[in-house]
Amino acid sequence: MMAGWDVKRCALATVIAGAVLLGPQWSALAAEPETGGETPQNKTTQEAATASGGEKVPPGAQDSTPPEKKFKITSEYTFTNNKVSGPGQAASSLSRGSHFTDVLNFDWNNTKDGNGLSLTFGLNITDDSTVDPKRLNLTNFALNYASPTHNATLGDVAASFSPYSMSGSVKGLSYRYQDAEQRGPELSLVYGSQYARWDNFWDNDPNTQSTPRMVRAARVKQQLADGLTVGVNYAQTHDRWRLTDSTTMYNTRVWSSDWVYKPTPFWTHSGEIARSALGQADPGAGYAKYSGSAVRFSSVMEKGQARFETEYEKVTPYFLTQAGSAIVDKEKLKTSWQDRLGLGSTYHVIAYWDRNNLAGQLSASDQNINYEAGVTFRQAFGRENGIFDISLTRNREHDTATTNRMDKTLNFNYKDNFNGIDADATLGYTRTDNAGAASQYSWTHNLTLSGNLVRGKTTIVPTVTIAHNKQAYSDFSSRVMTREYSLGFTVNYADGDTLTFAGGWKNADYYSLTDNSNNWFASLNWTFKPAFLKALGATSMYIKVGINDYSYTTYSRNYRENSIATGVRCEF
Amino acid sequence: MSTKPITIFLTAALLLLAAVPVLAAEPAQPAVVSIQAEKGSGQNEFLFTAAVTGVNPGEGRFQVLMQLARLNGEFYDGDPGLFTPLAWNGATAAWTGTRTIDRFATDRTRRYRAVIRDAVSGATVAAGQDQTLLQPGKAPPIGRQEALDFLDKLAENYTAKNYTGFMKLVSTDFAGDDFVLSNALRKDFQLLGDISIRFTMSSITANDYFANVTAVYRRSVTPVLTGQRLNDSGITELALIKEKGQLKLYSMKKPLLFGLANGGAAATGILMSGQNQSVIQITRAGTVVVGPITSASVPVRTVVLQGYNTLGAGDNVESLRVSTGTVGNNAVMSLPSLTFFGDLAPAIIGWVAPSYEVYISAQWQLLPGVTDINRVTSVPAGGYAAAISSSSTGTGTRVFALHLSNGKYAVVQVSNWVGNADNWRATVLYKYQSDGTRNF
Repeated sequence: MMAGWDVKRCALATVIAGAVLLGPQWSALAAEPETGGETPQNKTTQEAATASGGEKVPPGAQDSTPPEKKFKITSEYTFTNNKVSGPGQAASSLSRGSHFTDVLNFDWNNTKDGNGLSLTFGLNITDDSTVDPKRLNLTNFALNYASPTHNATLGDVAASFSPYSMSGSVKGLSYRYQDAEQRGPELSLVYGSQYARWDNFWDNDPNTQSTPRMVRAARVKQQLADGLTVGVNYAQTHDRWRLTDSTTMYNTRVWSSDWVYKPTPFWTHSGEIARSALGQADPGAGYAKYSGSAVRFSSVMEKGQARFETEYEKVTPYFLTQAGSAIVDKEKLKTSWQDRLGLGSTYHVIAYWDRNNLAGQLSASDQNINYEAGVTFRQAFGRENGIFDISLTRNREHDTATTNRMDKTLNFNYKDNFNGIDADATLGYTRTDNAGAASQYSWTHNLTLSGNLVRGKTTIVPTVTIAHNKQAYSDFSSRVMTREYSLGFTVNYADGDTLTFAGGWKNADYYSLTDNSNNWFASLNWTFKPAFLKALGATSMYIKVGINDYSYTTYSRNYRENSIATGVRCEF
Repeated sequence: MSTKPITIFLTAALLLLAAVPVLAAEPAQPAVVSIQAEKGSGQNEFLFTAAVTGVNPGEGRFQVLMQLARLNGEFYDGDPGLFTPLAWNGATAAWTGTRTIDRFATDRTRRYRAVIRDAVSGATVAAGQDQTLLQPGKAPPIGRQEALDFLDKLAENYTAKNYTGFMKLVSTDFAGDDFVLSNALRKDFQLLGDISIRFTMSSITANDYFANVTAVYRRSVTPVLTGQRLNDSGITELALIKEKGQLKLYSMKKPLLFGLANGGAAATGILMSGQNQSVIQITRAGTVVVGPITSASVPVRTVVLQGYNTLGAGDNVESLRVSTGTVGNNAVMSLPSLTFFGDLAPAIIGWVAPSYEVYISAQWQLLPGVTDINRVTSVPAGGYAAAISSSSTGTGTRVFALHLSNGKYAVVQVSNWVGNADNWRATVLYKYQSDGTRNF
C-alpha cells in the first residue's frame, strides 16, 4: 500500500544525502574543468582527416598533441524504501525498509605527445546487504601508463589473450609492448590474483571471499604474413589456500597457440590448440596429476548478408583452464549458413552436434544433435512494413544408457504497422518427447501493439501486451495455463525527460495442482534533469514507484511489495 | 563415432561448395575512388565516406572493400571482436557519387590509414594521395555505466522473455557457444513463468574492448509446472566484448544469470564464493532446483580390477590409488582395491559365481535398484553402515554410496564380475565429490 509513503520526504532525503556526500568541495579537486565537445585530441584528428582529403599530412605530425589533463568524479546516489506485507512475505526477495546506495567513480588522466597516465577507482557505499554485503567496497582501481609502444597497468587488469589460456580479469600488474611501426612481436605479461573483489585481499569474510588464485600469463603475438597472425600463450594458476575446508585446490599450466588467417578479405580462419597440466589436491588426500588438451577451429565466409561458418572443438575430460574458459569433455561440430532469399528476405540453417565421454571414462555417453532453420520474409504478404519470420528447431539428446529426449519447436513471428500502430505477434509450439515418459507440449502466443503519438515536441508511446502460454503432458498428469495482460505508456519530452508507466495482470491456472496464482503489478518511472540540483552537478534524477501484489489459492502464500526508489547522478 | 557427425560434416561441405559461386565476386571494374574521414560520435570512432566516380551506367558491377591498414602498409587483421573489415557490395547498377561506408571503433594503440581495395583481387583502388592518415584518440576502457546499461538490457530482454532481443546482445564468439545458449534461453522461457532479476555491479575490470564484470544479484522465478516462487542470490561473473563498437555478451560463469537450462551447459567457468549458497538451476531433464553449485559435473572414472594384482600397489589412477591391503576380518588377504583417501573402497573378493563379495572400509550403503552410476545425482544423508561392519554379497551390477572418513561422498559401481575366488575380473566405476556436498 502506498499509505504512509512520503515522496517529498524521500526526495528531500536524497537531496540532503547528495549534498552531504557530494559537497561542493569536490568541485575544487578538479584539476581542469572538462571542456566537453571538441577536445584538443579530437580537433587534431579532425584536422588530420580533413587535410588528408587534398593535402597530405606529414607522417607523425599528429603525434604532437597538446597536453590534456582531466579529473572527473561521478556519483550515482540511490535511496530505496520497500515494504512487504502479507502472510507469504518470506517469498519476497526485496530488502525491507529504507536503504541507500552510492556508487562513486574517480577518473584522472594526463596525456601529452601520445603518452598518458591515468588513475581510476570506484567505491560502492551502501547499507543494503542485498546490494553489497559490505558497507564500503572498492569496486575498481587501476593506474595506467600508456605510450605508443608501452602500456603498463597496476590494479584491475582485463586480459583477453585467447579463450583457452587467459580470458578474464586479474588484480595485479600487466605490461604490453609493441614497437611503433607494429612490425615486431607484441608482448603481453600479466601477474596477479583472480580475486573477485578487492576486499578479498584484506577481509576473509565468507560472504564475499573468493578463491585465492594467483595467475601469471604471457602472450607473444606476431603477424607472420599478410593476413596471418599467430599468438603463443602461457598461463599458470596457483591456489594459495582452501576457500573452505572442503575445497579442492588446483595448480594449472596451460600452453596454447592461437591464430587468425584471412586468405581473402571475406574469409577468416581462426583456431587454437592447447595443452594443460593440472595438479589437484583434495582435503586429506594426496596430490593427483592430470593432463589434457583442447583444440578449436573455425572458418567464416562473410560477404554482404551471406555468411557461412563452420566450427569444430574438442576438449578432453582432463583439460582444465582456470584463467581461460572451456567446457571440458566435449567434442562439437557446428555449421551455420545464412544468405539472402530474394528481395530483402533471408534464410538461415544451423546444424550442431556434440558428445562427451571422450576418454571412455563414462559408462554412458551423451550426444546432442540440433538443427535450426529459419526464413525471414520482408514486405511479407505485399505489405510494405510486413516482416514474417518462421523458424524450426529440432534438438535431440541421445544418452547411450537409457534416455532419449527430443525437442521440436516451431515459431512464427509477424511484425507490421497498421495505420501507425506497430504490431508484433508471435506464435510458438514446442513438443518434448522423453523416452519412456509422457510427452510435453507447450503453446505460446504473444501480441504486442504499440503506437507513436507526436504532440508538439512530446512523443507518447502507448503499449499493450497480451501473452498466453499453455503447457501440458500427454498423460494429463500436469497442465498449466499462464496469461499476461499489460498496458503502459512512455512519454518522451523534448528536453530528454521520460515518464514510463506499466501495469497489468498475470495469472497461472493449474489443472493438476490447486494453488493457482494471480499477480497485479504497476510501476511508474520518471527520469528528468533536475534544474534545482544543477549547482551540485546533478545531470539526471529518477523516481520509481512499484507495486506487486501476489495472491494464491492458498491464502498463506499471499504477499504484496510496495517500493519506491529515487536516485540522482552527479558529475564534477 | 556415429554417422551423425559425418552427415553433418558432409552437409557442411556441400553448403561450402554451394557457397563458392554465391560468394564469388564479379571482376573488378576500373574506377576512381577517394576517401574522406571524419570523427565519429565516439572518441575513437571514425566515419568514412567513399566517393566513386567514373563508373558509367552499363559497365557492370563494382565491388569494393574498405579496410584499415597499418602505417607500414600491412593490412590490419584485427583482434577478434575488435574490428571486422567493412564490406560494401557497391552498386549493382552503376552510380557516381558519395556513399558512407560505416563507422567503427579503432584500437587506440595503433595508427591507421584507410584504403579501398577491390574485394576480389585485393588491389588497392584508391590512389596514394587519397589515403587517409589517422591517429585514433585515446579510447577509454569500457565504462562502468556502459557495462551496467548493457547488463540492464540483458536483464530486460531476459525477464521480458524477448529471445530475439537477448540474442542480439550475444557475441557470435560466445565462449559457451551461442547456439547452446539460445537453446537454453528458449527452455528457460518455457519453464520459468515469471522472472525477476535485480543486480548490482560489485566490480568491473575493463580495457577498450573487453570487460570482466562481477555482479551481485537477487532473483525470483516461478517454475510454471510447480507455481512455487523461488528466490536466490549470489555473486557471479560475466565477460563482455566489443564487436563493431557494440558491447556483446562473451561468456558467463556459474552461477548463471541467464540460460540456466540444460544443466548450465552455456557456462564456461565457476565463481565459487565463500559460502557457496544455494542457487536456482535447471537440470538437463528440465527440473528447476535450488542447490549449491558444484565445481564441475563429477566425472565418472573406470578401472578394471583383476585378481590378483594386475595393478601394482601405489599405481595412480586418477585421484584414487590402487593398493593392496588387509580387508576386514580376512586377516592375510591381499587384494587389489581402490583407496579413497585412506578408506578402502571397495575391495572385491571372489566368491562362488555368480555371487561376489565387496568389502568397504568406509561408511557405505547399497543403493537399491540402481544399476547405473550415471543416474546417481545425489546420495543419501544418512543410513550408512559402519565401516567394515559387514560386507556385501550379491550378483550383477551393484552401486554403493560411500561416506568417507574425510567427510566427502563417493559413488562406486561394481559390474562385470566374472571368475571365482582365485581368478576373477571386475569393472569398477567411481565418482568422487570433492566439494563436500552430496550432489553429483
